[in-house]
Parts: sequence; C-alpha cells; structure tokens
Amino acid sequence: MHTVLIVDDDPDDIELATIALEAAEPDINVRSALGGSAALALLRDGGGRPDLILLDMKMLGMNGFETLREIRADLHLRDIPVVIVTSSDLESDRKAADSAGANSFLHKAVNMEQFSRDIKSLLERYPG
Amino acid sequence: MGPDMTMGDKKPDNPFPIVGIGASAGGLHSLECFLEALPKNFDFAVVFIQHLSPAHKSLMPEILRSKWRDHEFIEIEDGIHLVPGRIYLCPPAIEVRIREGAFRIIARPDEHIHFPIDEFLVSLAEDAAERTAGPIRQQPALDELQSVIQLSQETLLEEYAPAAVTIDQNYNILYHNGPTKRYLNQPRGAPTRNLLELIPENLRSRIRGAIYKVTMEAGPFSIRTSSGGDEGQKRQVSIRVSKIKDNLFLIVFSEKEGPPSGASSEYLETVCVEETAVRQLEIELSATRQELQTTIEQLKSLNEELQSSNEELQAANEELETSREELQSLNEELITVNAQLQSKVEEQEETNNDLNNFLSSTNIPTIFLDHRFRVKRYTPAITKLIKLIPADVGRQIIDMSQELLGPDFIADAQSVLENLVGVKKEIMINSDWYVRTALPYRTHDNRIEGVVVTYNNVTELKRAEERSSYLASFPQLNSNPVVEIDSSGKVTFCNPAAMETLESLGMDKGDVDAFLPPDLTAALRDWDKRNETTLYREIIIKDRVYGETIQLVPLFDVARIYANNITERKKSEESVQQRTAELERVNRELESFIYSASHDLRAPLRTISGFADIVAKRYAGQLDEKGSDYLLRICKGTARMSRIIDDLLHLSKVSRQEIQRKSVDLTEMASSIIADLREADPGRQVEAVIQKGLVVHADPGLMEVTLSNLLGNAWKFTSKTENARIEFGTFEQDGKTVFFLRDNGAGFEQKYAERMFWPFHRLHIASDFDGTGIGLAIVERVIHRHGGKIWAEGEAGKGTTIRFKLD
Repeated sequence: MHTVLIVDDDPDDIELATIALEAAEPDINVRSALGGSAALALLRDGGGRPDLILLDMKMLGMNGFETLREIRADLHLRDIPVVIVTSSDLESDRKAADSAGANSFLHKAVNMEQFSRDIKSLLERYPG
Repeated sequence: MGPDMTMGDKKPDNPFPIVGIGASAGGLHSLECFLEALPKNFDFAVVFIQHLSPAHKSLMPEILRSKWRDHEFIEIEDGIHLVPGRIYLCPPAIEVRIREGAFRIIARPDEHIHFPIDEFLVSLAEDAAERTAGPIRQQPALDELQSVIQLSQETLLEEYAPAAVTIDQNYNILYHNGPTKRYLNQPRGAPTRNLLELIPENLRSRIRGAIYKVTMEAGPFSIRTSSGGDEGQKRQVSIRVSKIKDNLFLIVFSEKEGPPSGASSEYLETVCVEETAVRQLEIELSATRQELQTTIEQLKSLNEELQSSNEELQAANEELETSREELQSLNEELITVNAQLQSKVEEQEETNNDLNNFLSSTNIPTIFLDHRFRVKRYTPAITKLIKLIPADVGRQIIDMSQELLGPDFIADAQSVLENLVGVKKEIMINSDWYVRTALPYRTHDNRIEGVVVTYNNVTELKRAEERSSYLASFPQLNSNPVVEIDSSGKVTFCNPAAMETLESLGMDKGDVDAFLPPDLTAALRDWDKRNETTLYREIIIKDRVYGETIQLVPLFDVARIYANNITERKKSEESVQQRTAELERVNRELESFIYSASHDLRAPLRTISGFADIVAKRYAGQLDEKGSDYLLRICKGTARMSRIIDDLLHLSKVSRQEIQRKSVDLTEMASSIIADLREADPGRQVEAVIQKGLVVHADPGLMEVTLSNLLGNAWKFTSKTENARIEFGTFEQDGKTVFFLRDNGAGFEQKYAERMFWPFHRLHIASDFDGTGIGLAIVERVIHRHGGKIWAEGEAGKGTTIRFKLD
C-alpha cells in the first residue's frame, strides 16, 4: 500500500490526481498539500513519511523546483522519490526537472484515461 | 781487395803450363768432355772462362764439384796465384786477367759488348807465353760467327789464324781476329770501327768493289796488293773477302812473303814496281773497270729517265703557254665588265642613298621582312613601336617581341605571302591607334620575296572621331544634375540641371564641388589602370540625398557624375525598414502570446475535461438520455480543444525553434511515415509511390513534421477514394529541385488554394474530414523557415498536389 503526497496549488488538479491514484490502487493513502510551503511543513511535521511525492512544477509562491531543492537539502527527506508534474510536455521542462534532481517526470494529460495510465505505471515503478 | 792480399797458394817457383778454356753459356758439355779426359793428377793449371749472365748466380762450381770429386775446383778471386793440378772457374759479371802468375779481377763495365774469353787469353799469352795452351770453344755474342781456333804457341796462332775481321754491310768491324793491327790503322780523331777508315786510302774503293762483287756473286773474292814496311821491306798482301751470310763479311789478311813478324805496327801502301805489280795493277784495273762499267750502266739508265721527264715538262710548258694566252684575253674581258659594273654600282649607290634618305626621313614606321619573316630593313620610325637595332637585321621577327607590332602580326604577314594581297587593319598599340598595312614585297621580276608593313598613326584622328561622338551624346538636356571632372578632380563641366539644383538649395555655381563624393580622390588615384569603371555613391547635400553614378572615362581623362535625387526613396525605404522591424517584433510577441495562452488554456480545459470524464464514469446512471448526450458533447469539445491547443503549441514551436540542417533522406522518412499510417489504419488499401534517393540538407525534425502532415493529409483525404494513390517525388524547374506530393483524394477548389495554408482554415467540414486546420500552416512555416516556398494545386473530387522547394 502506497502513501503518496500530492503537492499542487490548484485544488482541481489535486482532486483529479487523487481520483486517478485511487482508481489505480483502491486502498492507497493519498495526502495533499496546497503549495510548496504547506508540503514542507507537512513533511517536517512528522505526520507520516510518503513513499512518493507528486510535485507540481508551476506553482504560485514556492514553485516545484524550489520545493524540491528544500526536500533534497533535508537529511530526513532527501531520499523520498519525487516526481515533477507539469501540464507542459516540453522537452526543456523534462530536462530541467531531471537536472533539479527529480526522480521522474509526469505530464498532466488532458485526457483522463491517459493520465490514469501514466499514474498507474508510476506507482508500479515506485513500490511502497 | 788489394793485389798484395793474396789468397790461396803462394806463387810456385817452377814454371808450369796453364790451360785456358773459353766457352759460351752453353759450353758446359764441352767442359765436361774435357774433364772426362783429364787424368786424376795433372801438372798444369786449368782456367775455365764462360760467358755468363751477370744477372744470375752461376751454379757451375756446385755442378762440377758434385760430379768430379777428385778434382779441385776453385772460384777465381783477385790475387790468387795459379797452382798446377787445380781447375779455376770464373764467376759471372767480372773479367779476369793474369799478371805475374796471379789472377786480377776487373769489374765489367755494362754498356759494351764484352769478350771476356779473348781478353783473358790475351793476358794469359802475354803473361805466360811459354807455357800456355788452351782448347777454346768460343761462341761470341754474335752467334753468326762460329769458328774454332786451336792455339798452341803464339807462333802457331800467327800461322794458322791469320789476321781477319768480320764486318757488316756498313763496313763496321764486328770482330777482330789475329794480328789485324798490322793492316789496320786507327786514324786521328774519334775512334772508329769502320773498316774503310781503318785501311789505307788506296784500298778503300777496291775493298768496297770486292764486297759489292761478293754480295752479287756470293763467292769469295781476293785482292792482292804489295805493301812496304817501315824499313823499306816489301811484302805481298792478299785480302780475301768472303760472305759469311747476308750482311756479314769476313775479311782475311794474309802475306806470301816478307820480313818476320814482330813489329806491331806496320802500314800498307801501294807501290807500283816490277811485273807482279803491273799484273796486280791490271787486275785492279780490270776490277775498277768492271765497277766503272756498272756505274756507267746505272748512269745511262738514269739519263734516259731524265730525258723522258724533260720531254714531258716541255709539253706541259706549251700547254701552260696556251692557258696563259687564254687567261690574258679573259682578263681583258673582265676589265671591261668590271668597268661596266663600276658604273652600275655608282648608279646603285646613288639610288641607295636616295632610298636610305627617304627611309630615314619618312616618319612612317615601316618594316621589311623576307619570306621567312626575317628583318630585311626598317625605317628609324619603327623604333617607336619596337626597339630594332642594326644587329636585328636577319633575325626572325618571331624571335622578338612581336606583340609590340600589334595583334595578329604574323597571321597578317602570312596571309599576304599566301594570298599576295595586302592586309589593312586598324589596331591599337600602347594606347595609340594605327592603320597597319601589310603589302607583298615585289622584286623587279615580279616575284614575292617578303612583306612590307607600314604603320600610320591615326590616334589623333581616332580621338577626334570619338570625341565628336562623345560630345554628341553629351547630356545637356538631362533633367538630373550631370557634372564632369578631370583626373585631378576639378569640375570641367556641369549641366543646366546641376545649376538649377544648386540654386534650389540656395547655393551657386561655386558650390558645384558639393556633387563630388568625399572619397573621389581615392577612386581617381589608380584611375589610368582601369579601362572604364562605373562607381556608385550616395551623398548628402543639405537635406537631400543624391545617388550618383560615376563613370570613369580614361580615354578623355574625365569622369562623369550623374546625380539623382533619391531623398524620397530613401525616406520610404527607411520607413519600410522601421515597419518591418516593428512587424517582426509584434510577430514575436504574438508567437510568445500564443505559446503562453495555449499553455495556460490547458489547465482549465483539463479541469473541464477531467471532471466531465469523472461524471461520465461515475454518475452516468443518474443522468437521463439527454443529459448523457450533453455530457458526451462536452467531452468531445474538450478533446477537440486539446488537439487545437497542441497544434497551436506545435506551430509556435516550429516558429521559435532553431533550425539545424543535416543531410536528410526524405525517401526513407516518407516510407517510414506511410508504414506508420498503414499500421494505424490497417483497413485502408493505398498505393504509395515514393521516388528513390530524395536527399535534402534540412532540419530533420522539421522535415519529419512536414512530411507527417502532408502524407497524413493525403492519407486522410483519400479515405473516400477507390484505388487511393499517393505519389511523392521531384522534378526540375529553373534549375531547382521541386518536390511534389500528389493524391487522388477529395481535392479542393483552386480559388481557395492560398487559404489552405492559413491557420484554422478548413476547406472541408469536420464531419467529412477531421482536423484542426493548423497542419498546413505548420508545414508552410517549416518551408519558409528553410527559405523555401510551398503552393497547392487541385480540383474538387480530382485530388490535390502540394509542391514545395527548399533553399
């Protein structure tokens, strides 16, 4: 059973990702944080360590790359797998995520079926 | 070694006989015979003298000692006394004498013929006359002569070995034998061996005659003569001449009666006394007569020869006389001819002077060439063209710098020689114009012996002609300013329009230099090196801009400036540039806006699409049929919008992306795309014809986008066509490769051909053929970004042909 943390500044996207995750793994433990600062506070609060973090790239306030840098600088958090999520499918964004130290990259497909397939294969790649 | 240092035995008291034996180098056998007969003990001394080579050591003593051990062999050394019972051997390279019973050795001088045996025997005879005996086998150096002389006493020697000499054909004595000194007398002066000089004068001719006779008849010949000694004694001397062999004669002197011998020097002389003498004389006379007769005969034959020679000479002389007379008459003729020639030469000289004066005074460069184009003559004026010197006469003009004589010089000369017709040509040499005339050179008998080429300088004439035509074209009436300057940059002319322009600018004639571009001096600097050059400059006079075409005319040392007021054009050009730049900027902003807008539109679209999808899945049962239908339309709408956004982002990306050209195989790329289309749509039967070897230098990613769009369109628009066919290939147009992609699908109306490439512009309704209407816009953008062009041709229902070319 996975524990996944969704970090996004758009509640709609959090909702859609949650539905896609629950569809892929019914007893999954999904937690969410509305923005980078909230995510870091939640992680450091000690409320359970996630198996995977889905981190949106373009967020208001602390964006995805800044949040990732903080996570990687924290001794207790640095080895949690982080997937950068973005609505862009540009190769340049994929490279930026890679060089920022993300473990993987996920495109937010408009087509929900496509998105669900991508989520499922991601969970298989990072078992809990 | 001194004579007193005696070796061997002392001198014996009693006299004993000494046997001297002489032999040549091959005389060993004789000696052996002698030794064989010799008793073991004998009471005399034996001296053996041999002719030996001085260069080798003699092995004789060893040989003899080993064979006759009973005998005592002693090698002769200086001072040894002879002892009976011993055999003395003479070593090589020395001569041995005997003095007072002892040997004396004399070193042998090399340069003369030697007679070591003779010399030894003579000394032996002198030293021990009473007790000498010796069998001599003598082989002198001249082996022609061989004789054996047996000696016992000196008297015997005289009796049996008469005085004799051997001579050669030149009367030179080769060998003396016996007491020849009685008959021969060495005359004063240098020693001689010549018999004729040694015998008395009156015998000379007789001896010569005798030898001649002996030579002729081979048999011996004797001469008798009387001689008187010092004491008035008379004796009869017989001289016998005999031939030993060719060129070698033996002369033997013998006496019939007379005083006893003993006097060592006697002289022969002829005395005519008594009958015997008369008979003798007669014999001599007869011999002389015979000699004389021979001489006379010889003389007679000589005389005859001389006589015949004389006759021949006489005949020759007569011939010479005749020849002389002929020559005389010929000479007279020559004198006459010479006089005529002289007068001709004078005439010629006069003509020549006239010609030379003419040639040097004429200022027309002229050159005379022979039929092999060798210089025969030229006028001094030719040196204006080519530096000829008198030494060049006879040289071939081909060897010289013939280009100085103008183009086609040899060709023209050749043509004159071949066609015998003159060639006239206007040519340019060193910026001077000449009329060059090549004419055949005719001799007085009308033969063509060469070519005469003259040069008439027509530069002035030519220049005047050109000047007049140039002046005729002079742009007085030009409405634009025209200014002429010389090579120093000084204005030499300006037309009325120029003056008007200056006036309109508030300037006057003195400001005409305003039309000259600032860099004109530099342009004029290497002016004369150019033939004719046109320059373009833009200058500003006050607030106006003038475009100036500057024509350099070196021929007249001038430059013409044609000025054109381009102020307005310049202004409009600038505004166009500004507008273009502005448009480009707006375009870039627009691109950027499209990109971010498309991107930002994705998020809300995703919310709509995502939740609509969830509603459709989770709450489908709670909606009635109509509600479900509307929900489906929302989903389709969001899907379509998503595709539009993707295409828009794609279009924007194509516009912004940097182009990286590489070699791209379009044949392979097209085949691969068709294969993908077949795989995605296996139900379709489409014939695809793709030309082989289509390779371009372009951006591979963008070419992939282009071909995917075009082939995808063709695939799509043939979906309702039977026997669908897609063709991709090239053809040549104006030297450029044009690609075409033809299908036999739905086609379109030609009047909409341009609109095809507008974004979002569709020629078919979505229900017939799906699409965003951006694909061809993307394709056009890619082609434009490659500097190329794309256009379409079609007819409704007949298919579409898209053509494009790349830069």
